[in-house]
Amino acid sequence: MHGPRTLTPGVSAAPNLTPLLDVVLQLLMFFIICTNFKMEEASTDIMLPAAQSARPVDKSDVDVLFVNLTGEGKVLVLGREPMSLLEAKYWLRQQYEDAERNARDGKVNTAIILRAARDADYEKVYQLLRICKEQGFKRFNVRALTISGEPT
Amino acid sequence: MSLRRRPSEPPTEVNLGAVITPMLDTCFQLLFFFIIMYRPHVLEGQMIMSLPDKSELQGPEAVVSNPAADIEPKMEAELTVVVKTQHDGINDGVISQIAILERGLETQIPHTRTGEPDLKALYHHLKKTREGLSNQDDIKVQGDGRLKWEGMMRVVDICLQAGFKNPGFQAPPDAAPANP
Repeated sequence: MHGPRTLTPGVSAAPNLTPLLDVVLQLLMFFIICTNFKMEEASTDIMLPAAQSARPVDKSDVDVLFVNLTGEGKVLVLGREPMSLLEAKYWLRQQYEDAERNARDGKVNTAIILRAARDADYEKVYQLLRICKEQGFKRFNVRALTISGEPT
Repeated sequence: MSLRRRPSEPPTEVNLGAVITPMLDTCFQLLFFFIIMYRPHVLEGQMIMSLPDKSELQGPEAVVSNPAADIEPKMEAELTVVVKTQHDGINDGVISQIAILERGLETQIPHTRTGEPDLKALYHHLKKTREGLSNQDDIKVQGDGRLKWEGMMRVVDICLQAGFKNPGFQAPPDAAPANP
């Protein structure tokens, strides 16, 4: 016959939280590193077309101006309400003049980064490109989703 | 003295380790915050292209408003890829026909069995034609105004794959007047 059970002094029934804390800290580190607090000029609402020829983005080129074009033909830029093409024309003119003032030799080297939605009409895209050209911009990049595979 | 500890008796366990529960709570809160803030990186690439040439600017605004925008004279593209779309209410904006213009001669790209233009045939045609060109870098792509940008990019993508380094855009044949 066993007598009444007595608790052994000094035996802890609490779970060991140290491995859990390790895992949580590792996850935390991952998300801290991956989080970018910088305001993104690239609108996440734009569904880009895909292209095999798209090359990795050159992040060293900092003299860029993001221009997003929605499927409805509205121009989205950081810090502004959606603009019509006419409004975008004056905005781009202003941007060019600002860049010209800030340029050391007066030459504007700003590249237009066009992020047009895949369902945007070509006519709208072309009008936007023409406006960029008219305002004086020379460099121009198109953004697309990179896909891999055999040549078409 | 009754309060006196007997030296032979082991001391009751004293936990000197750090209390990690509050730390774990804080970590979870931070983790939750960063998970919310996290946006997965989209595989976005870029393609360097040409803005429409000055000669292609149409209408009363054909004169470039800034003289600095004038570019040095360069060789004209010898090839133009013309992309057409249809407006039948079902397939609006998709590619319906592709033709290649070279020195005034038009070559139609054949269609696949499903009725779409054969993009592989376009690729092989461009690759073959490019070898005989004096300007092997430039090519123009012209699309209908209502062609979706996705279709246009597919053709531009094929031009780049075929070896052309500098595809440029040409005004749509049904383009609106210069003022947007």
